[in-house]
Amino acid sequence: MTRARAEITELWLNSFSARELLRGKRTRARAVDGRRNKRSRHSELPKVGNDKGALLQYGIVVAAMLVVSVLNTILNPIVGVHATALIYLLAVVLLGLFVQRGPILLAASLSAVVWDYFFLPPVFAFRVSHFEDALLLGMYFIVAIILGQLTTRIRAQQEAEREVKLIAESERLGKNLLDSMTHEIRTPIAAIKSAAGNLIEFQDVPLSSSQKTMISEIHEAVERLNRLVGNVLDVTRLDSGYFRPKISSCDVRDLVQVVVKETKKELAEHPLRVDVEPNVPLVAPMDFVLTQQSVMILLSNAAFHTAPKTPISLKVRQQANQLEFEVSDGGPGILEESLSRVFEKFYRAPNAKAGGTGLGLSLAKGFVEAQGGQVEARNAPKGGAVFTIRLPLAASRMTT
Amino acid sequence: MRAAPDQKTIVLVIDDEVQMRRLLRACLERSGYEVAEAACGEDGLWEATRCQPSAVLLDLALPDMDGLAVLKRLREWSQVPVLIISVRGHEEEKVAALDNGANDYVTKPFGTAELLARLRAVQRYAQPPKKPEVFHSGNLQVDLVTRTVKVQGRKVKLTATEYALLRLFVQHAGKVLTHGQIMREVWGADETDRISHLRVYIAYLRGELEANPAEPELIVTEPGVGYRLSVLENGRD
Repeated sequence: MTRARAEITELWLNSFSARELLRGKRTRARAVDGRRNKRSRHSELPKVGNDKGALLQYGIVVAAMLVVSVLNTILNPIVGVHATALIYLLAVVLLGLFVQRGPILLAASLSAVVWDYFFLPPVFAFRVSHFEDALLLGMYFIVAIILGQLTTRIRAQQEAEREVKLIAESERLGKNLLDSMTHEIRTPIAAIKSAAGNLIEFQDVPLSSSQKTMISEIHEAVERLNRLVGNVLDVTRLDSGYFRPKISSCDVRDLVQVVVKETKKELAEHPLRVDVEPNVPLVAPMDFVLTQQSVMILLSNAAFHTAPKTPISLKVRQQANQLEFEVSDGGPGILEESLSRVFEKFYRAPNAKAGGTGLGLSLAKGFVEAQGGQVEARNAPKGGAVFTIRLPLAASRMTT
Repeated sequence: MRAAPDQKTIVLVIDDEVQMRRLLRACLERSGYEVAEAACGEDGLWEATRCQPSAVLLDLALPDMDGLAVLKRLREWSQVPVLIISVRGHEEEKVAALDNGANDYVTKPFGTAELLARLRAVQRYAQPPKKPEVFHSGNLQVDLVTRTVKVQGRKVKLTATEYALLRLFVQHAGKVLTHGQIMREVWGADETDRISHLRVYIAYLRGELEANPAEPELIVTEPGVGYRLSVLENGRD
């Protein structure tokens, strides 16, 4: 257990430092990841190095040109004027490996000017008397420009790859952290539940009714704690930015059926009316589990905030290009002041009954918005609260 | 109060949490199983070869290796029923475990009764003693030899794909089949664009077989994971 704890701390620190590194890059990082094509990503890339680095690069270029010029002055009598031009070109090519496009252009211009002025006869004049020399100068620039272009592109690519790797790493660390936390918190809960279960299943002596009550109290508390932990972990997962809905074709009526089955216990005292309009398509693109959980949250929320026997209704319909899940109840509705805040994390309406976590609706909102949909809360004109989930039906949302 | 000693079988528990192992041992021994334990993946694999268990309870978060890796290595030589017990409970994890040969999946915290029921189920369905020629569940009756399907004694006509789907379910009755597994078996390896077909065929099949297709009892949806053909008691004669 100590191992796990140390691991969590380490993971936390790691993910923190990775997050620090990524700060400011996050928005772009999402765009990179978000199914955008590779080319557009490159054009968005930042210029490598800051202003200071750029100045330094220009300095290096000037210094290098000076050194090469001195070298060429010494070599010129031995190798000839055209070889010195090649030495300049070699210097520009080598610089291209280390500096940016701007400095490389400066290097090319400098060397061309210096070569023309100091080396190319007539010396100390910018005259180019032979066609071959003009051609050489022209070629010279073209080579330098292409080189600068290529090195910049390669560097940008490397940078992009590093960034993608960094994001993947940070994402992995974040996931591991959440998994470790889940493991650490859920394991003792599992132990409590299992122990209480063993007490009921294997009674050496028949238990008294008060003992049975105590055990069922333990069960109830464990369930509640587990739900709470689940909600908190889900909120963390949503907030982490590592959350990716898995959108695929789902059978809408099957989803409704699962929702009804899974909420039967919580809605035991509330009559539920389910109505799937005929215009609802057989299959629609969505994350099955997230949508199911969101609708379940709305139904349990309705049951929680209304008196027993209050009717609850779930309507599913297609409205323009959207799929709507509408949960309404015949309860007292939502206070006007709370209406805009019900989806906030930990918000609890002043008249709300005790026992909720204040996380359910914010989770539903997060699950729906992660899929590109919206949630809405309002009061029906005839009274009662109405919650609506709208999911886009466009096929472009399909990822799997 | 042990169950009948003659049905005593060995269950191997692979979990790094000592408290979980203690509790599982208590619960399993009281139910008449013999228990072997391992605290890490390597020990678990070794223990599996040594004691030849009739079932394995495998935690996915192990200190030395990933639980899925243990499962894969175990499946290289053994078809012992494996019941995954994990705290994470993500659908992707369930799918990965089932695709790699796990027989079922329980999320911690689980109830004792639930665990025991699942354990019995994986043992029963993993190695059916003798394939009954006619499968029964509720009002459904499937004869794989003559390819006849009856609901409430009435013959039902299915298309080739519907029948292929149903046959797959019958062959794995009671077990969760992942979307990927079903699509691979019924439509072949090219699977990703078949999910909407699968949804539609499941809806058709339910329309033909279920007493109330809006509340299916035979073909049960496992959200985010797949489907399961449930074996209803009243159908067994």
